[in-house]
Amino acid sequence: MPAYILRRFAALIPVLLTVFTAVFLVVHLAPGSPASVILGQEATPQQITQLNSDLGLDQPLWQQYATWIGHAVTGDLGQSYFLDAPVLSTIVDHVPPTLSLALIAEIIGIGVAIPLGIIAATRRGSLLDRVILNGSLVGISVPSFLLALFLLLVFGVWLRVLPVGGYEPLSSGFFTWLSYLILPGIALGGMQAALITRMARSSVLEVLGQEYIKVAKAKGLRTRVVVLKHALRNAFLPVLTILGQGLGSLITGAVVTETIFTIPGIGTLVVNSVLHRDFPVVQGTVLFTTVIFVLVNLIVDLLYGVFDPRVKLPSKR
Amino acid sequence: MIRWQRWVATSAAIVLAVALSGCGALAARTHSDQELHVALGAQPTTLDEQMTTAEPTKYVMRNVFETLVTTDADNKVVPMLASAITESADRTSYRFDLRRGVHFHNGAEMTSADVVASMTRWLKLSPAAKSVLGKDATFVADGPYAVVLKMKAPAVGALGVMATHKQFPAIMPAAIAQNAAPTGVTSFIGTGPYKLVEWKKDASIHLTKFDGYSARSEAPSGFAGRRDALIRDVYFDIVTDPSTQLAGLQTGKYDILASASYDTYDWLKNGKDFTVTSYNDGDVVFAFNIKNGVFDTPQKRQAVQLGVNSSDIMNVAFADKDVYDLKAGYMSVDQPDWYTNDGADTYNQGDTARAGKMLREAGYHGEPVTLLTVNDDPFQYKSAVVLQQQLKEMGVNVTLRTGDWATYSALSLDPKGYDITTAGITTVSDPTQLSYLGDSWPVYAQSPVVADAFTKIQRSADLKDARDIWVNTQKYLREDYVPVIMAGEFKGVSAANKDVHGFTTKDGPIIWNTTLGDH
Repeated sequence: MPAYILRRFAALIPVLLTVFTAVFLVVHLAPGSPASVILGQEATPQQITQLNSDLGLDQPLWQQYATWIGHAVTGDLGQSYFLDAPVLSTIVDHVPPTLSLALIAEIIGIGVAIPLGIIAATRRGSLLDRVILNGSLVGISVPSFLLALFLLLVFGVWLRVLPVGGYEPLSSGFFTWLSYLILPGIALGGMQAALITRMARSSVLEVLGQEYIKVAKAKGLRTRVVVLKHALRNAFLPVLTILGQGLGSLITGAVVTETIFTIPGIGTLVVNSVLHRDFPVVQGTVLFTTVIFVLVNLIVDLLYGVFDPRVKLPSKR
Repeated sequence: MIRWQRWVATSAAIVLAVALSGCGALAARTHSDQELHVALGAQPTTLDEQMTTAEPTKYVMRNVFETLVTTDADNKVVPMLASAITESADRTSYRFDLRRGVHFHNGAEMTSADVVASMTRWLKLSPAAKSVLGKDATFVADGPYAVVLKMKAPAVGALGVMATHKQFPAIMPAAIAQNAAPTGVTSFIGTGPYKLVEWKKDASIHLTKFDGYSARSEAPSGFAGRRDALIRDVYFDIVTDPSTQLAGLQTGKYDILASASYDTYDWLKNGKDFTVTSYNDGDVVFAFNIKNGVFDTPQKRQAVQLGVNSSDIMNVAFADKDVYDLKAGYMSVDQPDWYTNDGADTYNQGDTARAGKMLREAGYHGEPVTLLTVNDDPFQYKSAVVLQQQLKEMGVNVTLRTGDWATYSALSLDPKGYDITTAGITTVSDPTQLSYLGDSWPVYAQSPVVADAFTKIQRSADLKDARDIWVNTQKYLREDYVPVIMAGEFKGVSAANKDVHGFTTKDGPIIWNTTLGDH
């Protein structure tokens, strides 16, 4: 396993290089420059040209690329044009809110969706099964921004039981931290939870039809033991895949939810830096999110072996 | 009833009861009355006010920095950090005696060295300053408490441009101004009633009361007079979504919306828990690419102007008549020194049939026309969509091109990037600063008539003479040259909860002299 992990990390380098090169070209070739955004609509062409030059943006593209790569390998991701801070520390500052949000959304996904999927599978054809299935269909169909606005209105404005937006770190107190994340967590995790519910249901249904489950029942084991101990573990692999992919998407795709709930996370950072043409921040966050995706996929691959011992990691050639 | 059904019914009843009790409750502030939360719709791109014309920067930093002169409620220029202003006989220089005992946030006393360094930097960075004062203007110290502005020629708009609130001449310590990087200052030390504590990116900007502030003694009037930091801490919270802004105002999370969305104006003004104030914020104009575009002759531009229905455009862009004015003049209706409606018979005609005929007679034969706008600015985008329709009715083969701010900026600087562009032009202190009439506008071919008129305006003996020249110039611009089409003047809207007192607006929210709580 250590060799496998090392090989996966080594494979990260060409992935990072490819992704970074593509993003570098796209953002630099797109129209617009940070100078025009900093100076405002009524800046003169001369001012914009001068500031772009001061920012080093008049250098040839290959030179800018080489310079950035050269610094990045030493851990220096550059300085944000707008935020007056190193890119690395900017990313680090924006990670906790997004990570917190993604965690809450995943907990909702695991804590709510999997039990619902199991219940639906074990009560297949019943009214409860139909309610859960239709509910999950609604969950998949409703866009996250609409759900976010609805939750904001009902729980934030009408009922006044939860804050309408913002973020407080964990250091402000666990319940304070949690109170700011419940609504956006539901909004963000709702669609994924719906997907996991359906996946868990179909996966458990498939496993419940296996011969060994019949043997377990015939042995007189209680239904709960049959489902949780024997069926769930085997049904969990497809769900694990979705959870892993979903976590990566949650981290990088939370921008709409972060905007509505004014959470200063990675999603907000990425969108603002793209709109502002803050090239170092765009490049740095792309690197960061690529590493996250690869790491999450690696963890999911390793967990396959944990849940199903029949799954073997590729052996050394 | 089955047990789980009973459970569901009971839960639903509880939720409904709580919901009904919660509905209609007044906003209860979620923080103390020594903390003011202002929702800002966009994050500032920089806090260096001397570098940018962006509004979020202005709204925040005018609480931190002050200027030598400013404007009162009647838009008259009055001293702020200056104690007295003396104009030379030939009007080529102004002496500013400085107030003594004014301290920066770092405790140092403001002297002429600081003012000279700040004004010199501002002169280098501001196109408006260079245009009005002249590229050779200088600020020099005359002792520790006096500064002299020296110009090569008289400029009737000199004090006006120094009192501007767009890219204003913030006074800062000399060491900061002189050592500023090309990308801007990184230390924000001013003389204002508030000082900067922290800028939490993408979250909020925190200001706190400056206990060493030296206030003027006159009664507050516009930006002039006494400024008191009556609330200890001010947070400008970055809230980009209009629904979230509104929800925050309703629930007391935010006390003030600096710039409310026009879509929410109707709801806000009819709400009994809020006060809504508006302020003249600028003009919607459509500017022609005279140098390289299809509308390269005055006749074609006159034809398009004839066909434009400004009422429809402004109505769609802003929805409520309270927040815009239909006007023909290029200056603000709030500027009686400059505003004139001369040439109004060319405004808001909406005669697309005649316009189409005129266009064909002027030599337009269906060439493709690009109408450029920015989709980050809803009113610009909406006005462009309506204009596009009107142009089509005139027989123009028009395509709408949009992008975010950065894309729009790049395309608007491209000599062949557009034939007509939308623009939101903020109020200026005199017509020679109108950016779309200046040589800094890359595709504008300045008319020799206008260039000559602007020179005469600045050299005028007094404001009355200058205005007379402007009236004739505007008539020429509207009836003959037509470099832009005026759609109308729009207002910015701020909203505050009922427990906010003393809050006023002028070119945006004014935070000093504001208090919170039951009175």
